[in-house]
Parts: sequence; C-alpha cells; structure tokens
Amino acid sequence: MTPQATIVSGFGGQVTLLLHMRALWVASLMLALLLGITAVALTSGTFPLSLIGVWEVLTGNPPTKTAGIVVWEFRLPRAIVSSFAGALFGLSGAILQNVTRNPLADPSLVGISQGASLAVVSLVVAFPEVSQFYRPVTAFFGSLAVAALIQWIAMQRSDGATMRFILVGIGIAAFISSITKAMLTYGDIEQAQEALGWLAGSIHAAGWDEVWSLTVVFVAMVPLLFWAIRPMSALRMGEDVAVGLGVKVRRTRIILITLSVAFAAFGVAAVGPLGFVGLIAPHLSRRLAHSGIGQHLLLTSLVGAVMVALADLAGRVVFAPIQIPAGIVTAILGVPVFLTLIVKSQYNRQL
Amino acid sequence: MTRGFAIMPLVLAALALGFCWHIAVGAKSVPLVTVFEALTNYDQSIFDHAVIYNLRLPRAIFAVVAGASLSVAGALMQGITRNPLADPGILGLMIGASFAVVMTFGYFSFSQVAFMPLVAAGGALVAAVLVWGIALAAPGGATPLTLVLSGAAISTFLGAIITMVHLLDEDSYIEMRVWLTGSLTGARMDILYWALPWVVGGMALALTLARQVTALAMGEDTANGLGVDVVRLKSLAMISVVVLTGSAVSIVGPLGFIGLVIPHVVRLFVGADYRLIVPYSAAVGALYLLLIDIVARIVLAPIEISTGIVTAMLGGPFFVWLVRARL
Amino acid sequence: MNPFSLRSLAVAAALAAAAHLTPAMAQEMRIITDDTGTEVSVPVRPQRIVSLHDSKLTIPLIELGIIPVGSHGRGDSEATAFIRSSAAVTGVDFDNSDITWVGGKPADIEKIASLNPDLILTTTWQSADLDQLRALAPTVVFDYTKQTEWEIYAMIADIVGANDKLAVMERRYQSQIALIREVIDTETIMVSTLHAQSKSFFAFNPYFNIGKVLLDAGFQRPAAIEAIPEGDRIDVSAEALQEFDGDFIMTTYRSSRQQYPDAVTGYMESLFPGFCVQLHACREGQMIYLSRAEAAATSYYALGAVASSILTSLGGRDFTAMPR
Repeated sequence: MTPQATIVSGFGGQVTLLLHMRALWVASLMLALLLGITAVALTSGTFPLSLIGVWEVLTGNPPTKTAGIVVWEFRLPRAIVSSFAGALFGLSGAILQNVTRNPLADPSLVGISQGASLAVVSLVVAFPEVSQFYRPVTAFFGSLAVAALIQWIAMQRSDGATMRFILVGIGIAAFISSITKAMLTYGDIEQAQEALGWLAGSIHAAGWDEVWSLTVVFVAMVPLLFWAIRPMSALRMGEDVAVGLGVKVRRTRIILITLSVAFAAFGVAAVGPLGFVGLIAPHLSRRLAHSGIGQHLLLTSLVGAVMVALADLAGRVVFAPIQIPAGIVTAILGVPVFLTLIVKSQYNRQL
Repeated sequence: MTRGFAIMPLVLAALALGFCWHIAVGAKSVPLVTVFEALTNYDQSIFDHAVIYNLRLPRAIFAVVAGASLSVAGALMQGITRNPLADPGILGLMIGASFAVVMTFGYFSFSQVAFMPLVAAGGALVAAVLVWGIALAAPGGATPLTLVLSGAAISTFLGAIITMVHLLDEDSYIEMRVWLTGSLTGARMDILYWALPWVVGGMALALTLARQVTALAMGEDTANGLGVDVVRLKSLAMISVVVLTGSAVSIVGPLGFIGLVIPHVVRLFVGADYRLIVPYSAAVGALYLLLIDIVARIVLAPIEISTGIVTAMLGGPFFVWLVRARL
Repeated sequence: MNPFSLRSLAVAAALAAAAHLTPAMAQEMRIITDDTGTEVSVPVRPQRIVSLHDSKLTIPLIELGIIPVGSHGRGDSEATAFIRSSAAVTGVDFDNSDITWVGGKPADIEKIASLNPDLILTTTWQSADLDQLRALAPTVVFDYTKQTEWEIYAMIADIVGANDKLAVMERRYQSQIALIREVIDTETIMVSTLHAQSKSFFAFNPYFNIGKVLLDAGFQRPAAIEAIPEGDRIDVSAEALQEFDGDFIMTTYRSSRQQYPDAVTGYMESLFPGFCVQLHACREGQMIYLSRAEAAATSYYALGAVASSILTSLGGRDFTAMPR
C-alpha cells in the first residue's frame, strides 16, 4: 500500500483515478465473494440437500416441501440478514473511527449494545406479558437513548469531545450493564435470561420480515451516507482543514456520531450485538484499497457483510448441531485479525 | 513526608470502625453485645457466635485484602503509565486473571487451589502484555484512549471465548459463572491463606518502588535524570500489579473499578508522592470495599447484590466524571 | 378366493405403506391449546416426535414408551452428547438408541428439519425460533412458570396417547406414598431440603422430586421453605442457615460430574466453616444425600427411587428429634 500512497502525492489526479479503479475492482471482488459465501451458505447445513436439490428449490421445483422451507425460509433470509447486519456494523464503525479519528473505536465497545440490553431486560422485567415483537424496537431506542446520554455528557465541554465520547461511552457501558445485572437479580430470572439470550445473537431466527425491514433501513440511510461523504473527507484531513473548508465541525460531529449510532442500533435490533465488525471492517478495507471516503464506505459495508455472513455460516456449521452465535465468532476471530492489522500498520500513521 | 502520614491514624481509625460495622450487619440481626462476645469469648455451640466468627469475620478480611490489593495495583498502574484511567479491570488484567482461573479450575477441573493466585497472576500478566502491545502498536501510541480501548477489546475477546466454551459444554463450569460476577459471598478461607503471602510480597514490592514511581509519574525524562532505570522499574511494578490483581481475583473474583477510584481519591488528600499514595490506597481501598459490601448486603436485604455489581455501579459514573474532569 | 378379502388386504397394505413412508400426511389430527395460548393441530398418533428439552420432555416421552426421533441434549460433539439424567433413570441415551441429537440452545433447526418430524415439543427455555419450528411441524410449547412439570407430564401423556401407561405409573407412585405414610409417622417429622453450590446455598419449593415426595407423604417442612412462592427458588444466606434445619436434611450431589456426597459437604463447609456443628440434622448424622439425576429428572422412575430412598432411610429407624 505504502508505495502507491507515495505515488499519489507525486502525480496527483491521474493516479488518484487509478487508485479509485483499484477500489472499485476490490469492491466487485468483495461482492463476488459475498455472493460466493451466500451460495455456500445455501448449500451447507445439517439438512441433507445436494447442489441440484438447492437449484431445484431456487427454480421453484423443490424436491420435498421441507427442502423448500430449509432453503427459502431458513438459509436464504439468514444469509441476507447477516450480510445486511455486517454492512450496518461496518458502516457504523467506519463513521465512528472517522469522526473520532481513532482506529480502535467500535460501536460495540461504547455502550450502544449495553443500552439495547438494558432496554430489553427492563421491558421484560416490567411488562412480562409484552409480545416479543416489541423487542427490536425497544433495543433500537435503548441504544439511541444511551448514545444520546453519552453524547450529552461528552459534549459538555467543547475541546477533545470525540475522545471523551468514547471514554464516556465505556464508563456508561459498565454502569449500564451493572444495572442490567441488578435487574436480573430482582426480576423474573427465567424470562429475563430468555431476553438476554435473544440479545446474545439472534441471526438464527432471521426470516423474511427482518430482510424487508433491513432493506427499508438501507434505502432510507443511503442518501444520508452520500451527504456524509463530504464532511467525512474534510474531517479525515484534520479539524483545521475541515474548518478551512467551511465545515461546522462541532455540529457535523454530532450528526455523524448520531448516524453511526443509528446504523449500529439498527444492526443490534435486527441481530443482537456483534462485536469487532465495526472495528475491523474499516481497517481491512483500507488495507485492501486506498480510496476516497465514498468508496471506502462502499468497501467497508461489503467487507462487513462478508465478515458476518462468514461468521454466521461458520457458527452454524462448524460445531453443528451446536450453534455458536455469530457475535461470538466475530469476537474470537476478530481480535487476532485486528492485532495483525494494527501491528502491520505501525508505520502507517494515517487514519 | 512525615507530615503526609499525619492523617494516617484517622484513616486507620475509620478502617477499624468500618471493619466493626461490616461485622455488625448481615442477613441475621445479631445484637452488638453478642458480636463483641463472639470476638472475645468465642463459643462454637452458639449459632450467632459462629455467624460472626466463621462468616462475617472472614468476609471482612476478604474485603480488606482484596480492596487493598486492587487499590495498590491501580495506583501503581496509574503511576507507571501516567494514565489517570488505568485500573486492573479497565485495562483487561482482571478478565485475563478470571479467564485463566475459569479455564484451569472450571474447564480442566484442576483442583490445587494453592496455585490459584499464581494462575490468576499469569493470566493477568498475559492480558497486560497484550493490551499494552496493542496500544503501543496503534497509531498514536499508548494514550489513555488506546489503552482503554484495547483493554475493552481484550475483555470482549476473552469474554467471548468463555461464552463459547460454555455453549459447547453447558454442564462443566456452571459454578464458575457465579464466581465471574465478583462476589464476597462464599469466598474461601483456604484460598486466602495461599494468596496472603503473595499479597504481602506484592505490597512490599510496591512500597519499595514507590519513590521511583513518583519520579516516573513526573515523566520519563525526569526519571532518567534522577537515575531511575525505567525499564527495570516498569517490569518490577508490573510484577507487583499482576501479583496483587491475581491474588485479589482468586479470592473474590473480578471486582472492577476499585483500583481506579481509590488512588484518585487518595491523591486529592496526600498529593503526588507514591510513598504516601501506596499505603493510603491500601488503607482507603480496604475501607471502600468494606463499605461497598455493607451496601450490597443492606440495600435490598434480604436479597444480596453481587459486590461486583455495586463496584461497577459506583465506579462507572466515577470513570465518566474522571474523563470529564481530567482529560 | 374371496375377492373381498383380497381387496381389503391390498387396502391394508397400501395404508401401511403410506403410514410408513409419509407419517406426516394423512394423519388424524386434533386441536390442543399450548402454554402460549396457541391452538395447535397435532396428530392423534404422532410417530416422529422431536423433543427440545432433554430432562423435562425427552425423559417423560421415553418413560411413556415413545422413543422420539430427535432430542435436545448436552455435549460438544456427537461422541459426548447425552440426555441429561436419562441413562440413570431410563437407561436410554443417544449412544444406545435411534434418538438423534439436535443440539443444545438454540437447537439446530436444520437437524430438526432433516428428521421430518410430525410433532415438536418445546419449552419457553429453548431459544430456537418458534416460527421456524412451526413451519416444520405442529409445535407445542410448554411453560414451566404456568404449569408444574407433572402437569406437563400428564399433558405429554395425553398428546402421545399414553394416558393408560401414565395411570399405571401414577398408581405405583401413590402406593409407594401410602406405604411411607403407613410406615412413618410423617406428620411428626420435619424434613428440610437444602441445595449447595460453590457460591451459595439455595432452597427450592418444592425441591424437585424430593420435595414432591415429602409433600405428598405429609412430612413437616421448615417455615422458611413454606414461605418460598411455589415453584420458585431463593438464595439462602449462610447466616439464615438455621432456619433450614430440621429433624432430617436432604440434599443432592451431581453424580454426573464425578461429584459425590463429600463435594456437597465441601461446598457447605466453604460457605459456612463448621456448618455441621450448627445444624441439628448434621450434628446427629441425619443428613441424607441423594444423586441429582434421580432427585431432579421429571420421571416416575426417579420419583419412585426417591420415595423408596426416603422410606428406607427414615422408616423404622431411631433418630434424635430437633428441639422445637
């Protein structure tokens, strides 16, 4: 990567174009990889079904009724939802790392998933009879409320606000999870634990409802992403440059952090907290190709999608019939990958 | 220096009072006279005496030992990293120690409790090195922010492995999961006996290093100027930190934030000299954990909250305040 | 040859073949309401049942003479998976039966699909998605906060059409209880139950099978146990230990984990050093230790084993009564 970066500074515009070509090329490669993983996901699992069988199901001619259910209702929506969720967490991390200028920022470390847990556990303890249908909504607003609280506390002083956002987030996360634990001691243990289990990872329960709601989320969020490209590019060059370019730094930061939290909250609401995807996907895509923010975001969402799709596939197949939640797989595989990335980028001090 | 110790008798008196108060409260109401009798004239055939002598007295001792160890560990960490947010819990040492204990004693059913403090210290050391390494390698180096984030990352990672092992083998260490919440209930006297020599050693090491840590806390250049061998000092301090953390974890499980809160409180009163900070942290930390444990037992009585929940409930907001005030 | 009988023979053969090949189809169905309030159309004679709780659903099925095609179980591989308590109380486990292991929590939905079940039994404890299960087969959900395990046992017997088998086992149990009442003056004896783990004492109301037998036989219980809401359990502070004393104390050990009675006394000793001096039952050697498989599995065999343990260990012996 480093030699090409040097060329950029040497030859300006022309080479930048070349690099963008590379980013697009990598993006299509990632897309192909994602489709490949989806294909593997459609053909793997403990239900015995040959490639031909899967093809027959997809072409509307299932060999048995159960085969149709397994492919259409279990494997396909699950593959789609995990890709969507991965893209959401990846984007959330990319924005958070950009706005905080810290490569270690991850939405799952700063109180967002803990907020979701507290909200859902409180719901279950206070209103045990409420339908499971409300859990994703509750989780979403729980995340958002906690993020707002962190934002509010961190923004009390104007300087160094983003570093404080993360650190305040970690403190709040510890506080909130202690309250959640205290509620578990107090409330109906069985039900509260069931809710926690739901939160620990629920891609396995994904169906077409989740696919459609995540599609709506994406369609609604993409324009916001396009808006975010310009201020994010400016912030990447440093605060002073951003001010020089006419960006209202403080307001922009608040908006970008909110955007990042919203992405993560939708992800948490759909599949539960997935650690490290938001941390690693941006790094990985940066190493795969240097590019402008727009393509970086595109690439990050694809890398995130690949990661979670792969993690979910591995979690349901490797120890089958034991099912390992994708969040556990991403956390365990995430740290070694992350370590390598960090150590290798030691001399690459740019964010 | 000598003036610095002027308030020590006051702190020790408070500690003694806290100790007695701790012994006097509990699920069963025992008259103060009986408490006194149990301590002076123990009769094992009287249930209330046994409650005081066999349950509450050991529990108060566990609180004192763990509170003092964790506070001193936190103080040393803050000194050598010059990071106000350093704490054995936040920087991942505690989960490292817990992970090592859970794996060796839960999963592999190893049962020689004599080695528990050592196993825990080893886990804490590995985690500390990892967290440190990640933070150093990250762009910007080992700032408070990168240290805290890499601590959180390592904690999540080890937590995930513990969860996965549990998913694969639900049956094997269900009991270890209770221990993981950090609680003084059911702490074992035999483990305390094995941990005590390590605690004493760790404390003594911390005290002998205190003067040099004071120099280092003012900056590496100052320390070098004063002839301090920084690498040697950091290594020795690290040994003291992991031994103290490991001992505390093996006795009471992971109790977060004590090592963060206490040294800051102490510094408010005694200043920046670690020859004062270390002994005061030990005394105040012991008092703090005694008080926390009283709260954990009386707030929702007869239900007892895990001590670890209370330390996090108070420590989390303190951490937030610290971030706002000091960074 | 009589053409009529030939035709009926052919019909019978065709029916048998159909029943063999596609048990899920062409079955007689009936409607029952499960604990989620859902009306479920279940086959009158289910052939391919998948059970999603090992000790609470699979064991009753096996005891009622129904071998499910699949069951939830514990373990980390096919080689280590087991149906908790089943080897000890039914003698049937994954390794000596045709029951397929479908995973833990959540169970593997595809493994369940591959078994082509015609009925799925599950509990609110299991986290496998209900919509997915219902897409595969009629699914009956049991909720242990709404019914006791024995009410659920009776419901299972009704669903699989084994009411007569249940009646026989219930009759045997009732005669065991009657014998205990004849041999022992149960109303004058206070029997406490106490559970110890590494970090805490627990008390249950009732203490699984032990609690049920003690209640049915009419023993006295400590007021502290009576005070626990039915079906619940509480943490017992070591300082309250004496409230759980009695003429006898019954406790359990996990034989499945190579733990024996000394493990329980070890836990008790670490929770309360010198506990034995403080408890009348322990001082007088009137502690009774049972294996947890028999004490906790939802099984009439286990219930019978507990009943005869109680009859044997308390019947016709001298003991020192606790001063009241």
